Amino acid sequence: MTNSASFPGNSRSKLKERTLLFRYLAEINIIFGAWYLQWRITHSINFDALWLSIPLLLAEIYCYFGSVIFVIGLWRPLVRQVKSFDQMTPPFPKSDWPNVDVFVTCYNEPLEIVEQTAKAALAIDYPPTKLRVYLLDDGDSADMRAMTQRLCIEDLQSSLLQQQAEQILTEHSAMVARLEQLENLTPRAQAAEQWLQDSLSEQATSSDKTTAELLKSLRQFILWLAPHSQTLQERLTSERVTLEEAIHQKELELVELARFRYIARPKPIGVPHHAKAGNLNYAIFSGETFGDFILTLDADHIPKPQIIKRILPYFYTYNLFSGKYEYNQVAFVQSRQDFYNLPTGDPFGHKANLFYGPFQQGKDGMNAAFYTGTNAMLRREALVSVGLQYFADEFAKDEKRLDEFELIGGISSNSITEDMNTAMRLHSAGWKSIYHNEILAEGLAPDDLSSTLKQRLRWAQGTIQVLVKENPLTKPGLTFWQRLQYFKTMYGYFSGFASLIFISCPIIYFFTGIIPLNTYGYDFALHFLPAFIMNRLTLLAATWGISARENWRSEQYAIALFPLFIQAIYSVISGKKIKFQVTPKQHQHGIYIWLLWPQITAFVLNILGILWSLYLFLIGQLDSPWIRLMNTGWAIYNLSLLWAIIRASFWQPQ
Amino acid sequence: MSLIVKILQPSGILDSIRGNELRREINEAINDNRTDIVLIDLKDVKFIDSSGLGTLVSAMKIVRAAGSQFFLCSIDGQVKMLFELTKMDRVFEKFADQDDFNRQIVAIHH
Repeated sequence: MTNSASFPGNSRSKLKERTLLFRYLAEINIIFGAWYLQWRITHSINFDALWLSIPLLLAEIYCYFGSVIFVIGLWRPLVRQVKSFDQMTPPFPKSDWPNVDVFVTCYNEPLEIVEQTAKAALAIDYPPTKLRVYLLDDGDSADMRAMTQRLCIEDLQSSLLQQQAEQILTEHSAMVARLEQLENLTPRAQAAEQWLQDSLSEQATSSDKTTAELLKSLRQFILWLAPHSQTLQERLTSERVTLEEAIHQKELELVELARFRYIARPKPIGVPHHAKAGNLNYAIFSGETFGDFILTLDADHIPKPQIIKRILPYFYTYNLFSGKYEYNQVAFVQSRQDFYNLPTGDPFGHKANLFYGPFQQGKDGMNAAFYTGTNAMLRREALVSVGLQYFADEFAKDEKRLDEFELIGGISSNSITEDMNTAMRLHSAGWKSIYHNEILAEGLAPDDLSSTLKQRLRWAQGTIQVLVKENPLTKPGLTFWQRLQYFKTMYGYFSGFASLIFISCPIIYFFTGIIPLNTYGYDFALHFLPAFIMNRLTLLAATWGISARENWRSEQYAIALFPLFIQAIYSVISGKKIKFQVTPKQHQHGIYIWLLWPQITAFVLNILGILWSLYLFLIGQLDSPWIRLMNTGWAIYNLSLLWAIIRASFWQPQ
Repeated sequence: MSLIVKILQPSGILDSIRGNELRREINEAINDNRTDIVLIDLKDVKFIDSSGLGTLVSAMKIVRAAGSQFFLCSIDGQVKMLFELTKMDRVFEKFADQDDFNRQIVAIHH
C-alpha cells in the first residue's frame, strides 16, 4: 500500500485481483465436492464397520461445509487505498484535528520491551498537543511507573515539545505584559472616572464642564464596546479577571504538555477485575483520558510514526453539501499485525498472512472486519455508547454490578477474547468496521511451544465462549454475512474432532485391517481426485501471494493442534471456569515434548504401521496392496502434518 | 430530621471533560459534608455524549457507595434520545423536573 495516492476523494476500495478467478474455481470446487459426497453417502459406506465409517463420513461432511463457508467468507475481499490525514482533500483544518489517546496495555512484560513501545508511541507523527500516550499497567509495577516518569521528562525535553513550550511561554509573557499594562492604567482610569463624576456636578467650572462632556462621550463609547458593564470600574475589574483566567489556562497548558502518563487501576478485593478488558475500561472511564479516538497497542507492538495519520481518515466523511468533515459510522479500523522476531522457517506457525490478508479483507468486504486487540483505532463514542447498553442490561439483572461499572462499561469482558466479542457487539449495534492492510506496527511472537500453545488455547477458548454466550447466528442486529464470518471462525475450531478421525483412520487400518470405506478402487479415485484437485486449486487462488511454505505451515498447525481445539471446546461447554492467561513475551526455556502426547502417540503409531507394512512387503506377504499403499500414503501425509509441532517442542533459539 | 439535598445544574455540553468536573464536585460534596440526596438537573444541558453519560453513572456509583441517593431530572431533547439509545433511562431514577422531585420526595419524606 503506497502513501502517495492520487484519486478523487480520500479513500477508495476495490475487489482484490484474481477474485473472479477464485470465485470461478470455488464454484466448481463446491460442485465437485458435493458430487463426491453424494457418492460417499450412497456407495461407499463400510456397513461392517459403521463405528468407523460413519465418523469419517461426518468428518468429511464437516470439511465440506467448512469449505463452503471458507469460500463464501472470501467471496468479496476488499483492497483499500487511503490518503494520509494531512493529505486529505479538501484539507482537514488543523485546529479541528481530534485528540487521540494511545493505550499501551501491559502486565509484567519486561521493562525494555514496554519502553521501546512507549518511545515509539511518543514519536508518532501527530500534533503533540493532541496526542496522549497512556501506559495501562495491570501489574502495578513501581519500575514501570518510574520508567513512565523518566520517558515523560525526556519527551518534554525533546525539540518538538520544547518548541511548543516556547510558544506557550511567549503567549504567556504577552498576556502577563498586558496584565501589567492594565494594572498601570487602572488607577488613572479610575481617577478619570471619579473626576468625571465631580465635574458633572453643579460646583464645576465651565471649562471643566466642556472637557467633562468630551470625557463623558469617551466613557460612553468604552462602555458601549462592552455592553455588560455599567461603569469603567466594573469593566476594569472584569477585564482583569478574564486576563487572569487566560493566564491560568496558559499555565495549565504548559503542565498539560506532559504527554505520557501512567495508569495502574486499583484492584479492590471482592470485585472481579475482568483482565485486559477491565484494564482498558478503567482507563476509558477514569476521567484521566478524553481522546475522541483510542489506539490500542499491546506492550510489545511497536508503532510506526505514520500509524495515526494513515488510519484516522477512515473515521471522517466529507459532506459536500455542508463543506465540512463529519463523523461517520466507522467504529474501528484494524490494521495488520506483523512480527519482527520470527525465526527462519517459522517453527511455531505464527505468520498470519492468510488471516491478515485474504481473511480480513474478505471480512472487510462484508463489514465484518475483526478487532484483534492491538494495532487498531477505536472511536470512543462508539465503544462507550455500546458498552453502556450492555451495562444497562447487566444492571437490570443485578444492581450490584454498579460497583464494577468502570471495568465493564466499554470493552466486553464476556469472553477471554474480549476483542472479538467487542467487535461483534459494535457490529450488532450498527457500527461499521474497516480493515487496513498496511503494516503500521510490529510485535513479538512467542518463540517457545508452551507460550504458543497458551496463546492458541486462549483464542480457541475465547472464541467458543463467544459462540456459547453470544451466538452470532442468533444475535440481533448482525447481517447475514456478518453472522457467517463470525461463525466461520468458531466452526473452524470443531475441526479438532475431524482431524482426530483423519489421523486415526490409517492407524486403525494398520493395526486391525479395517477400512472405513468399502472400496478404495477406481470408483473412489474417480470421485475423490477431482474434488481434491479442485480443492487445492481453489486454495491456491485464495492464497495467491502468500508463500507456499507459509501455507503449508498453516495447514500443519491447523491439523496438529487438534488436541488443543478439542480441549478448548470441552472446557467451555463443560462450564469450567476459564482464566485469562496472558501470553508470555519472553522465551520460556524448556523442552515441552510432554505437552504433545496425543500428537506423538499418533506419530509413533503411524510410523509403526508404515514399518509393519514395509516388513510385509519385504517378506512378500502383502495383502491387498492397493489399500495398503493408499493408507501408507495417507499416513505419510499425516506424519508430515504432525512433524512441525513436534519439531517445535524441542526447538531452541540460536 | 431534615434531608440534606445537593442540587447540581450543569449547562451547555456535557462531554467527558465537563462530566468529570461534575463528578469531582459530587465527590467533594459527598466527602465534605453529610449529603443524603444528590440531584442533577439537566434542563440546561443541550447536548450530552456517551462519555458524559458514563461520568453520570460513575457519579451515581460514588453517591450510592456513600449510602446516599442519586436522582436526575429534566431529561429532554437530545439528552433523552441518548438515554434511550443506551438504555440508561432504566438505570437512573428520574423526575420530570425539580418541582416533581420536590413533590415526590417530600411525599416520601412525610
